[in-house]
Amino acid sequence: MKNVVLRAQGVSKQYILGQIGAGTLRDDLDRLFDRVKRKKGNALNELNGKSGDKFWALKDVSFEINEGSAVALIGRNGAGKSTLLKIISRITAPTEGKIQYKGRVASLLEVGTGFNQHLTGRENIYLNGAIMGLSRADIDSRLDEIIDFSEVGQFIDTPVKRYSSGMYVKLGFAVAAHLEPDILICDEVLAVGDTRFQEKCIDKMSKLSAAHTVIYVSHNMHTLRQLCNTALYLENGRLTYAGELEHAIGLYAGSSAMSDTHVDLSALPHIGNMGKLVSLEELDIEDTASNEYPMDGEIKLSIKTNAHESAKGLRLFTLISRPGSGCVATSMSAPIFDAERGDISQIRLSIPLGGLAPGEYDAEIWLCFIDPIGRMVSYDAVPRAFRFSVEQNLERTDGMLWNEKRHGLFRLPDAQGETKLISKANE
Amino acid sequence: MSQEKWSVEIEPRKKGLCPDFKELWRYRDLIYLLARRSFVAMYKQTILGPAWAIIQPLLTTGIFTLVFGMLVGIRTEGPSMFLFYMCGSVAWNFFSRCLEKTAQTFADNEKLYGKVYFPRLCAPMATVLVTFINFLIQFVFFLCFLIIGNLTNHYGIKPDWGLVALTPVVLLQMGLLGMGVGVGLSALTVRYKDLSLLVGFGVSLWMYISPVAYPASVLSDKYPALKTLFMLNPMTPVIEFFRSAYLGTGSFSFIWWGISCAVTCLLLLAGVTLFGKVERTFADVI
Repeated sequence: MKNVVLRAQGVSKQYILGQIGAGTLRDDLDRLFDRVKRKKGNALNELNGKSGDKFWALKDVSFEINEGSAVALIGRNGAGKSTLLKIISRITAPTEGKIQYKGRVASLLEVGTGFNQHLTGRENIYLNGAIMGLSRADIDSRLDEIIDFSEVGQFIDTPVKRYSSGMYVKLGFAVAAHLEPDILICDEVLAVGDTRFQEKCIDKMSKLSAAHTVIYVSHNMHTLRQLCNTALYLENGRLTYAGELEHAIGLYAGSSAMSDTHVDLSALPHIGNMGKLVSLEELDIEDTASNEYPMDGEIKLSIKTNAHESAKGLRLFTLISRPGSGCVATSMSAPIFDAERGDISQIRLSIPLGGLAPGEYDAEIWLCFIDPIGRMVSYDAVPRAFRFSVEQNLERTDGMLWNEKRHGLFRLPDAQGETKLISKANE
Repeated sequence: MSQEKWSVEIEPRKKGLCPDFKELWRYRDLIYLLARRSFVAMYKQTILGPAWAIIQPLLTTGIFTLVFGMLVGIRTEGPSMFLFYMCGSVAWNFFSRCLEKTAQTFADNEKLYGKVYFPRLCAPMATVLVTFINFLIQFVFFLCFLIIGNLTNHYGIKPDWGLVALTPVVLLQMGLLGMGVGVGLSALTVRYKDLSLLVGFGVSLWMYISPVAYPASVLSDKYPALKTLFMLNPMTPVIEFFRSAYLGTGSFSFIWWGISCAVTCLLLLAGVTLFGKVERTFADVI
């Protein structure tokens, strides 16, 4: 049964641009005076003067979060993520709309909030816990666990000002991780400590998200994939998508729309150290309407080029990457392209996908030449030329549903093997 | 699912005027810990430590005795000029510190308020608690002077024990008055920064219209027309209370004290309401 623990209805937040808070008594008196005047019938233009500089950081955002889900809040800088978190964690009030939730919310917008330099680690655990809403008894019962998790060990009775910055952050996270709230809100706090501690944090977080509801903000798609199962995508203060994590990450990574089978490459950004010697102009993706492929499928491309220089023995190099993460596979063609200066030609290319795992991918296309000493000379390159997806195919994966977190992004060819009987059980 | 039970509803405007007392009670550990934090922070790495709490009223009393008592020659009541001034300044000090420090609530807790939610009133309440502990140190010190003075110089000071028993109520009133005015001012200073510069000035002005450096009787005898106005100052009956209770010399009256309590309630309500209004959008303004 799905149990809604948090519901937002038409939440909006307005900021007044310019010198917020630097208001003087005179401004306020002016405003008051205006209001009184208007009441008397002297219609005063609302947009007269300073009242026009308003900005909606959030506009009409509504969503529901179910119990036990781990929600990623995704959006570019300035999309309104932090504002939304601040409203949910009651640091600031919305201008319109309302948010309702059940249980206790703990928000981790910063690690070690309220730590006092002069107090010892142990005292700060109590203080920090109390700020987060725990009683003394609550903390007493978790103290050992917290100290253990923080790894500060013998330094627990030393004032935190003598801590290294790593220890400081570890202690801060340890307290937060043991709050056990009903809803935990995190703003990119896992980027703390050394790698091993980060892993420990992520591990702890995923354990937490199993039993509690977690809202997590990060620009690190890898972490989000590890922790979350659903997503909210914010764009310019509006909630434009709520649902599947992968789709939201796709929106965030933002390449051309997936169903486009015709791409005007000349309009996309190009990279490449040599400039456009032979420019990639247009791309048609053939034999597909949706850019979805089965495992072991094949992408068929047709690329129009325009040669500004003569070239011989060029190859097409395709880099396949996960949106928001790094490259996962590459595909290189044979030296198939020759052109005279001024030629306009069409290259037809087919890329077998092999054991590429189900999921969404971005393709980057290079037109390049490999010189005799192994260097790649780029003639043109388009990052994020198009996006495609590989679909789950249970037959291909031996009836097993592919889970990227466990299985990775590439399935090697079937393992070969045989069984030989050494001794029979009966007899 | 029937009608769902939400534990918290976040809305643009708060319902009602009063702070959520139940929630404050739940966070009582936080009030204690915040108080402890500022107490430790105040005296850590100072050479004299809590002794500062004693030195400060001693200096004030000394200056009062010298300037007002000896140079200006104000007639004080009771056998000891020093004890008279000490009584007034210790009591006034508690109130003025409460006011001045809670008036900085938003400025002092800017970082904390911007990062995590807890009932915002916890911070000024903790401030009052710390100030109270400082006051206790000073007050015990004052009592020592009183007892030693009585024993060695035979001042023959007779405390009014009935009034002495009322001390906790008056202390509570002072704390609430200081906090009410303080948090109200702190809410205003978020918008009008210049006000924070006026607070210290205002408090010293307030001291001069309160009978700290002179007995209330001096003023009401000289300018009987101003007496009502003078007594409406909620701090006048409070200071007079301490003199009446511990030195047996003041002109404490229950009627004026009752009015003082009513004024306290009004100012507290106004201050807390203003504070509650500002706390909801404070993070955007700062």
